[in-house]
Amino acid sequence: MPHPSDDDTTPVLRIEVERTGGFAGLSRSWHVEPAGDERAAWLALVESCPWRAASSPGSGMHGADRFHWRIRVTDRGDVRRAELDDDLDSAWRNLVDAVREGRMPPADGAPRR
Amino acid sequence: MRAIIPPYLLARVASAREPHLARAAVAARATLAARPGDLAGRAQLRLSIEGGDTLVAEQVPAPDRAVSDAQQREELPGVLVRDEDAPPSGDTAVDEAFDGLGATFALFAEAFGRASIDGRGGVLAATVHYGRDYDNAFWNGERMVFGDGDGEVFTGFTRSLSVIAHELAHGVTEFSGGLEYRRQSGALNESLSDVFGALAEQHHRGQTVDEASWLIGAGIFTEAVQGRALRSLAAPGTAYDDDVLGRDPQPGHLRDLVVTESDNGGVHINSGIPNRAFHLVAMRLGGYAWERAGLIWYRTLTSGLSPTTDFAGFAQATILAAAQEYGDDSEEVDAVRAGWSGVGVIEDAAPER
Repeated sequence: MPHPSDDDTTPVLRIEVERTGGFAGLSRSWHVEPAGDERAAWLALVESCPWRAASSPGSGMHGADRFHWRIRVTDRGDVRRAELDDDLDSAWRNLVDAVREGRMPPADGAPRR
Repeated sequence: MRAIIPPYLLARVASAREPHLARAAVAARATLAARPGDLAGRAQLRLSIEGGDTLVAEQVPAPDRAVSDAQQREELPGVLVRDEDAPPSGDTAVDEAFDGLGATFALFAEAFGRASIDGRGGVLAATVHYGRDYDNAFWNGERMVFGDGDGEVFTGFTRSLSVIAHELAHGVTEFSGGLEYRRQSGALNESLSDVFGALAEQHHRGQTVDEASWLIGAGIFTEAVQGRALRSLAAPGTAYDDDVLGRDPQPGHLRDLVVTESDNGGVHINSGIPNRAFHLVAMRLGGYAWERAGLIWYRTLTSGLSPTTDFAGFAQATILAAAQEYGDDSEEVDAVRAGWSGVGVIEDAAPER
């Protein structure tokens, strides 16, 4: 269905989450492209994450078969990336869970676990 | 302090009735009596009659298991729900983990003479019900951790003994000096866990090389997934082929080595190459795989490998271990060579250098 905002030159917010590693060695990925009213709330979720403190995977994790996460946010040509071990802190976890479920957490931002 | 003479040997000496061993028997009995209970881990006393008139008391290592419940949070260790002396809990995942740890302990103790993860009878610690819809099982450096799966792709990860044994074997590898969890050394780390995972299942079921499935994780996919298991040692790359998951990406030959940054440099992918080498060795030797092929791999793991050992270095170490165990001209050495040349890691019919 043609739509003016569907052509790929239109700037969109796109949040991608990729999970690699784990016992199965399977990669899974999820993404959202929120538009309109949802955009600001998703951006707030993105901004709440500690991007500067994001460590490179494998830096602090012991053991074997752990998950690794890659987060990629594209917004009007800006690209931000983070690579994370499986011990996600609450802000990252909220973002990852929201993207996997394809919907924002409750408006009060309360963590669901 | 570490005991030099294993308790089962002491027990044998203590029970000796030959006159010339009388002094040794007294000394051994005194040593056993003085031994602190926790020094050598837990043990069972096995009594048997030999030669019709000799009572032999043998101390054999026994597991010391502790299974905790994370109650669907991603926090460790969780609440301890079953220790070694407790009866079955009634929680399927708890009891599957408990039994799986016991079966894996039995492989290492009976086939290789190793007492537990640390070789000293240490506690086998596991946590089940980790996270919500958590699609993974892992070793965190201290304990084995199992998720329940999401119910769509994966069921619980404790349903397969090969998965439990895989995680326990990561601990054995770590206590043996470790193999860096990246690229080829990481793929060897993964492969060793698959090998001992498969062997624990075969040992538990009493299967020969021909009877065994050689699969890792059979039974942990839901029925919606088109696949038998997660990995196949016999035929890497054939374990699953599914609309959602894609196809099993494992190579079974060095020429197909996958170069990737994902998955710590493909540790769960390229493990197919050493996995298949082990399978080739085991099939050529026949019988019970843990008796010779498994022992050679175990001796190699505990021979003081460098943490950055690659496939070629590991192959040479297995040949050396086979030669030390069975002799330079043994069929075991031939089988090990053939296995590695079958996957392209050493040259065909490699002559003695």
